Formats: sequence, C-alpha cells, structure tokens
Amino acid sequence: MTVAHARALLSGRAVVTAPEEPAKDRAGLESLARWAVRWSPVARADPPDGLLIDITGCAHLFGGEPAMARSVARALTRLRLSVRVAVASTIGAAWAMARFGPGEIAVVQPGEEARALEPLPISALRLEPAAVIALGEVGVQRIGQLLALPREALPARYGDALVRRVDEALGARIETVTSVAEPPPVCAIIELPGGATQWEAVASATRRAVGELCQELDRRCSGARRVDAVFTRLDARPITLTVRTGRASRSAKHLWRLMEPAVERLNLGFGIEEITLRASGLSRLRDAQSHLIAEPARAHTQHEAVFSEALDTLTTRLGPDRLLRPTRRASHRPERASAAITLQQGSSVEPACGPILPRPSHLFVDPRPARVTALSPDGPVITLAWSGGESEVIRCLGPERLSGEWWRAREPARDYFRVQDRWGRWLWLFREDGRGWFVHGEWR
Amino acid sequence: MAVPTPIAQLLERLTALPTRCTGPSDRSGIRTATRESLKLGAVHEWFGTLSTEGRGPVGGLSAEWSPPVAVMVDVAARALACGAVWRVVWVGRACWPYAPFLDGLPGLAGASILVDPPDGASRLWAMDVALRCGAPVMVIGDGRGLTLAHTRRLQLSAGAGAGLCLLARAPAERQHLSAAATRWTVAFAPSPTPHARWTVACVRNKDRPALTDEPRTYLLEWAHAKGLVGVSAAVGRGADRASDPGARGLSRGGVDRAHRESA
Repeated sequence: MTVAHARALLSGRAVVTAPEEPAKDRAGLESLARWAVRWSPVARADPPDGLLIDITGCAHLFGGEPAMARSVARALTRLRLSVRVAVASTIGAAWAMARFGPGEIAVVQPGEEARALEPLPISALRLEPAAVIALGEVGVQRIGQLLALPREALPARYGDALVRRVDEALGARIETVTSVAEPPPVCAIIELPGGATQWEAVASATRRAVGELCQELDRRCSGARRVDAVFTRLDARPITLTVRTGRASRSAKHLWRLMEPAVERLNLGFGIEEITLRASGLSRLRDAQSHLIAEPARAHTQHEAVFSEALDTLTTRLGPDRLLRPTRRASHRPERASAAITLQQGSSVEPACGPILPRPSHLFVDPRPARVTALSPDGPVITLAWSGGESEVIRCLGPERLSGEWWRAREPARDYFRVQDRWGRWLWLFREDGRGWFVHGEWR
Repeated sequence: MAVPTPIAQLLERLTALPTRCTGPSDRSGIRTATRESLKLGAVHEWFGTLSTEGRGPVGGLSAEWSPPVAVMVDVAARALACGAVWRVVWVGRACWPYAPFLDGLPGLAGASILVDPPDGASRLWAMDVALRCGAPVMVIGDGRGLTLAHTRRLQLSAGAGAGLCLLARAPAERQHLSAAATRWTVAFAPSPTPHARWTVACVRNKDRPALTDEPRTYLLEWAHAKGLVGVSAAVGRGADRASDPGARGLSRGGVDRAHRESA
C-alpha cells in the first residue's frame, strides 16, 4: 500500500510513516516466538507476519482448543497487535484459516480440513505467485475447485510444489514445527597445543572427537543428521567439513567413515590447533532392543539402517545430485513422463491411473533424426535410416498419437510407431509435423 | 556373557523349526525367465546387445553399446517379488531403465535407487559400497571397462554381502577375463508377435558347467507389464530353433516375408 493510498483510506487523519526494516521486524517476530513458548514448548516465527505454535498435548491445560485460541488472541491484543488465530491439525490449514478464514478466531476440527479450506482462495495454500496466476488463468480461484481437479495432472502443469502444499494442508504429508527454543548444541572440542602437522595425529584426534560427540548424543538419546567439523589452523583460516546423513545417527564408526576421506585431503598448513565438532539436525533416537532370534520385520529395520549408511557414504563422495530415485509423471510426452528426483526430495509422485502402455526400456535423451520411407503419411514404415545406417522394417505398429500439452504453447502432436528392423531390434519412432521423423527409444 | 542354559535350549529349538518359503527363490538363487538360477552373493555378467547373427545392425549399434536393460529389469523384478533382495541399485546412467517401462512390475520403481558416478573408478567404488552394505541389495551396474581385478573385487564384495551384482557389459569385452559366476549373452531376435524378443545364452556357469561346448540358449519375450517369459527353454542352439516357431524366424529371409505380410 502506498502512503497516498493509506492517507486516502484514513480520510484526513494523521498518518505516521516509518522506514521499512525487515531485519528488525524479523528480530521482533523471533522474540515474540520465544515469548509464545508460554503456551507450548514448540513455537517459532513464521516470517513475515506469523507465529506457529505446536499445541499438541497442551490445549487441555488452557481449557481446550477454543479457549486456548482466545487466550492467545487476548495476550497478543494486549501487546497492541492485530491478531487472527486459527487452530487446526495441520500447519497448512491453520495458516490458511488464520489469514483467509471468515473470523478472527477459527478452530478446525480434525478431519474437517478439506471442508474448511474449500471456500478459501488458492493463495491460502502458500503457493508461489506464478502458480496462483497460472491457476487463475484457467479459472481456478478457490481451493475447492483445485481439489476437484485430477490430482495426477497437477504436477506436470504446475510443479510438485502445488501437490505438496495441498498434501500439507490436508495432512497427507507431515510438516513439523521446529522450536525457537532449541536445546543446546552437541559439541566436542579437542585442543592440539602447538598445532598438529602430521595427518595421523589429526585423524586420530578427529576420530576421538567423533567418539566423544557420539557419547554425548547417546547420553541425550539423540542422533544427528549433520555434523560440522571446524579445523582451526595456525596462521590460516579455519576449514569446515560437513557430513550429512539420511537418517539420524550416533554411530561413531559411521560418522567417522563419512568424515575420513575429507580429513585425508585436509590442508594442514602450519598445523591444526583445535578441532570442533558440532552436531545439528538432532532427533530422538532410542536404543534398539537386541533380540534372541532374527525376525523378518526387525531384519527389515536393520537392512534399512545399514543401507541408509551405504547411501550416506555414496552421497558424501558423489554428491546428493548423483543419487536419485526414478519417478513417474502424469504427462503424455515421453520425455516428461519420467523424472529422477534426489533422495532428499522424498517420496515420488504417483503415476497416473490408466492402462499401462508399451514403452521402451531406454529413451534417448535427445530424439535422433531418422529418414523413413512409408507407404502413406500414417505408415506403415518400410525402411528406416538413422545413425549412419539403413535397415528395412519387418514390422510396424502404430500410430499412437500423443498430443502436445495444451498449456505449453506451440507443442505439436506426435505420431509414435513401434517398428522392428531386420535385426529384430524394436525401436520407438515418432513423426512430428514440420520436423520430420525421429527415433526416440529402444527395447534393449 | 554366556547365555543361560534354558534360553540356549529354547534358542536351539526355535532355530531348528522349519522356515517358511515365500516365493520361487531359495536362499541360494533367483529363478530367472530362462529357468536357470542366479546365485546370490555372486557377480553375473550380461553381454548385450548383439544382433542374432553376431554383427551389429547398421543403425546405432555399431557405434553404440546397448546394455540388456529389459533382461536385468526382469531379474530385478523377480528378485524383489520373491523377497531375495530388498533394494535395487542401478549404477551408471547407461543401464538406467526408462521409468514407464517399469509400469506393471510392482514395487520395482519404488525399490530402485539410481546412482550416476562421474567416472569409471567411482562406478566401481559405488557398486562395491552398495554390495558390501550388508543388506540384501541387487546392484545392476554398467560394467564397461572392468578388468579381472575389478570383477574379482566385486565378486568378493558380493560374497561378503547379502545381495548380488548384475553387470551389463559390452559385447566386445566378452574375451576379457572375469571372476563372474555366470556370463550371458543377449541378442535381438525377430519376433512374429508385437513384443520384443531376445536370444539369451548362458556361456558360463561355474556352478553348473555345461556338458558340451554349446551354450544353453533361450528365447525370451517381453510380455507387456509382466516381464520376460520364456518362449522356449532348451539346451543347445539346434534344439532351440527346432522347438520354437518364433525361433524359426532366425532364418532371415523367412522372417522378412512373414512379418511383412503380418504388418
């Protein structure tokens, strides 16, 4: 809102202006979150203008959820803040109701999230502005209209974030609140007076620090997803190494295995005088009871643990972008029907329901140009020349027309053919108007 | 600490109870479409893909290697279905399957992890790490350029772990020495049906040596959304050709005529 707009709205009353200070606002919000710990131990700021409080197990202390919501509203009003409060089973639903709900205080009963959200505008789903505009262009203004659309068609058109936000709002995907009042960090510090210049000494000290860190994690019944190791050098800048794990871990052996290759490559300079290890991303990790006899269910858990450690080892050396999970996308276009997502991106999008169509085992990243002789424009194909060779075609099935996606401009339809060359090899060809013929895949 | 005697007795009695078999696999191997088993804790090499007549088609194959993805997808699906393995790790972009090809093979896409190592050394290391992890994992790797020492290392890793390793290798490497337990060649085969076919030959099986020099040859067809099915399973090339009408199409002139008529 501009100052002129504000003056017009206030119709002649005095307008007080002050420069915008986002950092100060953020600090104020953080302090407000620490103050809100009086209602629950888990509270955090939700910039730019919100607070999130996890009231699980706390509401009965304040007379139930409605009474607690009123209590929060009263307390914040006393601080001369305009407040809207919503209580819901999910962060997404509470966020939406607090900002777009009909009243200043709203309580959504468990299981009623979809019904409560249906009349609200789609901006209430915490979407990117581009997604809101794109949905608006096709007439989707309310969450109810969005929920009525086929779910599998959404990621291809509007990205995975849209489905993720819907799932978060409806409780199909878990979203948690990390408290501002975090427990003190878990650290291990090893001092090396005079500076260690031998790699063996540094490695030994680091390994001891890892052991101490894991003992402290063990004492707290916790595991860490991230460990930062800071190597303070004499007359040089400190070096920080970071290792991440897929699951919370307090196994000294595993953490050292992840850290060792990086420690081996350390530039020790004139010597390392201090090693500081700091664990973060802590989560509760209970001790596992050992069992007399291996059972399949428990064996599965053990397999998960050891396999997760192997993935951590691979991720640390190769990088998170080189460990992927295959996923299906609901798209007619073959190149968009499949994607590989990183392990950190979590679960994959479910494939579209429908008939399973014959598809090749290998799809070329770039369709390869081909020269084709066909009896008619719709086939069948008689000869095929591509990649510098020519072969007659002994079998030709098709065409299967795959239309372009209407929301992408200038994407013509393609006619796909399955053809078998004289060597018995099955290829997947397509013809596109104006571009000619291409080999797109192969049954290998 | 020693286990108290009653507990030790109980443990002994419980261990002696018969275990329930959950699928067509036993502890020692995975039954494939060829009806031969692939041993767990071992490396198995698949050379593909050649044309049936032993020389590559003009388009693409002469310049480019075609790993036998369909055969390895089928082995992985069978191993998952019978509970012999629990995850499938695909190492090397060349042998990754196209995700829609896995439709209809339950659980395979969800159990798959794709690894994209930047070079050959990292590829070998990644396969080694996955095999040694201790979980029942099937590692399917791009085995191009591996030496005898490399395959021996993988064989030791597979033996130390609980899974198995399938290596996709280039046909030109068939002459190279290897420590693999079995070696297979895969060749395109003309098919009278609308499904792709391959001729698969077992050229080495350390546990089941052949009585003759003739490799055991099988004709397999990709049944849509089901995986590979054996069109015929017979020992020796002669028997294979004689018993199967599709295999008769290996004589090229006949196939050409018949298929053009059907098309």
